[in-house]
Amino acid sequence: MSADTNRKNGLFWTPRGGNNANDIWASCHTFSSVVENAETGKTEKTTVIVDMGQNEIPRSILGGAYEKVVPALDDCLAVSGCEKPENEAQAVFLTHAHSDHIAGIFEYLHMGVKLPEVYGSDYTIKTLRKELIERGIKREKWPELKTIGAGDKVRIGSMTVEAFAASHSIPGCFSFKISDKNASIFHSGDTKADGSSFLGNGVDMASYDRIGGVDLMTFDATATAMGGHATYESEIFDEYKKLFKENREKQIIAVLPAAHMERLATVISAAQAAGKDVLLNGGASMEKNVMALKLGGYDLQEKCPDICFASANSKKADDIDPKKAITITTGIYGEVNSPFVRKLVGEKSDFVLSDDAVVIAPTYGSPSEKIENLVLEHAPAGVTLIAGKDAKIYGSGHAQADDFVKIAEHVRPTTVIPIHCSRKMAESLNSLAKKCEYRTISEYPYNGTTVSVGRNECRIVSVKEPEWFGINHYHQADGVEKVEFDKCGDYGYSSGKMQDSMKDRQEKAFQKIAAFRRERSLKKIASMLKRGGYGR
Amino acid sequence: MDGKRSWDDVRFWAQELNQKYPRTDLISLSDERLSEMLLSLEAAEGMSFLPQDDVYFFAVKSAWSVVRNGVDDSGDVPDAYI
Repeated sequence: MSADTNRKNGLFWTPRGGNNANDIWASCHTFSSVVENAETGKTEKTTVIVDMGQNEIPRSILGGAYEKVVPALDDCLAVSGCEKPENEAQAVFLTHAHSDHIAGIFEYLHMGVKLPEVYGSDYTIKTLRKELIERGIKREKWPELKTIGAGDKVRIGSMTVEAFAASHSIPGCFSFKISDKNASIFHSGDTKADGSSFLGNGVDMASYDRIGGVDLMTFDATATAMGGHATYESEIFDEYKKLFKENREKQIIAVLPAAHMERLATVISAAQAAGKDVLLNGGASMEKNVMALKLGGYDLQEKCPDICFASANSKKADDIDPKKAITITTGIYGEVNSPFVRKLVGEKSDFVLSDDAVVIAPTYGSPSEKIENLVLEHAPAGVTLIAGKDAKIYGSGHAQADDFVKIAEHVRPTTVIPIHCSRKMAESLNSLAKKCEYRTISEYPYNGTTVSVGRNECRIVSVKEPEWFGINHYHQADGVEKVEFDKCGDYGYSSGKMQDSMKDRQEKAFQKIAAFRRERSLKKIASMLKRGGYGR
Repeated sequence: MDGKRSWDDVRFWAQELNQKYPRTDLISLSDERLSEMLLSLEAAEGMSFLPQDDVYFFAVKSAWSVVRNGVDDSGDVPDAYI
């Protein structure tokens, strides 16, 4: 937060991560309300954090010197070794439980930071609790976790945060309206305009109508460059059901992104409708997400009473003939741990692949998608591939152009600013917003840009180069997990500038890695010697 | 048994469960059955009260899935574009 938020009366928004030049990692935003108390004349400040993501591709930043990279929030959280925070955050609100929105929480807790209370939907809070347990973070370190529902309003100091149901790709997603007596902001989170979710949640336009307009809408620009609307789950369900029925006598391999829980529910529902048994063979990530469906309100036993559904590596799977069933698996991006990809490339895998199998892969033409080439190059000649260009099976979890238009019509913002996007994506949404006669701001607000939000105007009041915490995990000789972290500069990562100096910085980063490893080895040796030497 | 062992050490319990109950179908495994399985483990003898909480049981199943599959591939694909 910059010194500009110290002025009297104002609502301020600062993207701290997720608004980068070339990618969308590490969503994190701070909102500050500065209000003058009429009676005392004193200025009261309130700061909340919305989402605490991590950079999901840490090799892309800081020369790859760190295993984890999160936005540096030491200006609003008390971090050991840093100065006392200027504006301590009073709460954290989470839009949803994807790692680029919540995984920074685990890193801050590993760093020994005491977090303020954390608010989210029932599913988000349950996922957070589950992750805290699974990651071995002691309960005494946990922040207070508070579940809220759509429509709930939480008063934090001079600020009110209201939750709205949003539709994305996992259960329990929220958009937030953040307001004070000065102004109001609708922060979309990751969203689209689809009310046909098989998870029973989704966007509620009527609730947006009740807002009565906002001064600013910060909006998910990940996919708004794509025309039309993000394909509805109901449309995708119909297509899968048709394909499942058409290929009833063959093995069907449904390749999906493991984390797309919305799509898992849709495809499983289509299998139930087509009367085809399902084997799940997509590795731990996919199995975890299918198990998580129950927490999200989709109980397989209830929803799929007529089919047999089993993990491929279980005894129950013996009751299913894989050559006549649907196998749901991973591999769209050529994931090296995907059982299907391993089978295709001839590595050890328990994946059963028939010579005449039908592979359904909802691709949309991104270079990151590898599955089409893998199937064409490695699968038996009799295998048929149905890709995104062959059937209406692809659907983004993010708003496309028509989704934006529809949501904006109901939210009625004065100004629109893109979030969760690269500069190119931001330009596309800016252009669309202008066409729809919403105001925009002239510059793309990279991470670290503070925007003052007013009734008639939103304007950039400061641009500060963002900072990051680079974190490495290691295990002590006694097995206890520890972290080492450094506060690092941005080196032009967020703005896309200063690329010419990256080589030098990478060199320094590699030196740092070497120093880190050397120090860790020395510590380990010292610890072993203390315990009686290597012989134990 | 390690006196410091906690029910929250789900990675440990996942390994124990996988040894004693191989090829269990995790998707249809009820919390009640998982609770019985955990309490039946030799390492559970003398342990304090087992949390009866759907989130706790999910954490155990999740860790078990990683043991069963041999690798946690959760980070293989970034969530941001999903």
